[in-house]
Amino acid sequence: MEQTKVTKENRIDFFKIVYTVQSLPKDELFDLSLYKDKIVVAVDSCGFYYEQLFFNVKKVEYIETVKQYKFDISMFDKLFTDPTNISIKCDVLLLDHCPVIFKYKSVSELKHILSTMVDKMQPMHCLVRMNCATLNDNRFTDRFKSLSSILPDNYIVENFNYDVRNQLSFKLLKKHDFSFN
Amino acid sequence: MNLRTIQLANKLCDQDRIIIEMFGDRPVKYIGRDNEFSKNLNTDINSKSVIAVFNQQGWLSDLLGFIELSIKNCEEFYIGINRYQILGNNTIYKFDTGSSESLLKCIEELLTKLGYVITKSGSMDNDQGKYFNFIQPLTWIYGTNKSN
Repeated sequence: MEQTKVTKENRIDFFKIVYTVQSLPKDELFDLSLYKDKIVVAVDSCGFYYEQLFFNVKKVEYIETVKQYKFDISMFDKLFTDPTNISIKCDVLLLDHCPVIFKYKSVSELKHILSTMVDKMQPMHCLVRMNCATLNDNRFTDRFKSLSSILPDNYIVENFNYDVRNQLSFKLLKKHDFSFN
Repeated sequence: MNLRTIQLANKLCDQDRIIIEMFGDRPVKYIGRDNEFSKNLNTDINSKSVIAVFNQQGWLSDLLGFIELSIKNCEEFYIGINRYQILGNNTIYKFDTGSSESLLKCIEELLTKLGYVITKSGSMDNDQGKYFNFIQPLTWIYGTNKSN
């Protein structure tokens, strides 16, 4: 079966429909001004757009995305082939829509990806948003319960928004390693 | 520019061709939102041959209601379903899995109750969005009235 192809004629429009974050107004993005002096790493999240509107963001993009859509060199800092191999330490991990990482993934795949990424990158804050329409979760069970199970261990939920017609977004805070001993 | 034009320009995808080959030049009643695709069909609002495509957000009950309404009094039908557009299961029907096969099984029960028989169907759950899923849905059923 023939695959969807990005061509010279459709490249710009295709990029806009796949990476919808770049069309959102600033007040619909995660508010990065809360993390002004922190190291923010945006993975597959239109980091270049966040950087335009906020401040320096480390932009990590999928290698094929960069090639297909002919990213200018200013639009990425690092490349990845597998998100679970990214090990850049950061204060804030930003995962906004992430067409490569989240799209068409099952609940178990999402849990594995998120858990592995936070384990390797050790962010204090994790900002995640995904489009509910393109998740390959089981629509015939209780979707809310099922999707809430993707949250990684060692993080607590600061904010959780679920709109089945739109998106699932949450902010996580890393648990402190604290002991009375 | 709509999704179809961006991804396909003026070409047809494989699933478009499956539908067109199935019905040829025969008059068909098209029920769906893809006006660009329906121009490739010989559409007739009074035809007893129906092509119904569910490619909009809705709950499972909306999908089942759409199917029931679309095929009423028809003699043959093609139903296309974009499973990613199903918001969730708002019925008491219990599914074994979340796969297209489970969905097709549920729809077959409905169609049997309504007096239809499924003769062909297809799905592609590992589509990963590569194969124009949001243009021409990849879970599909073809069937006829039992008396045909």
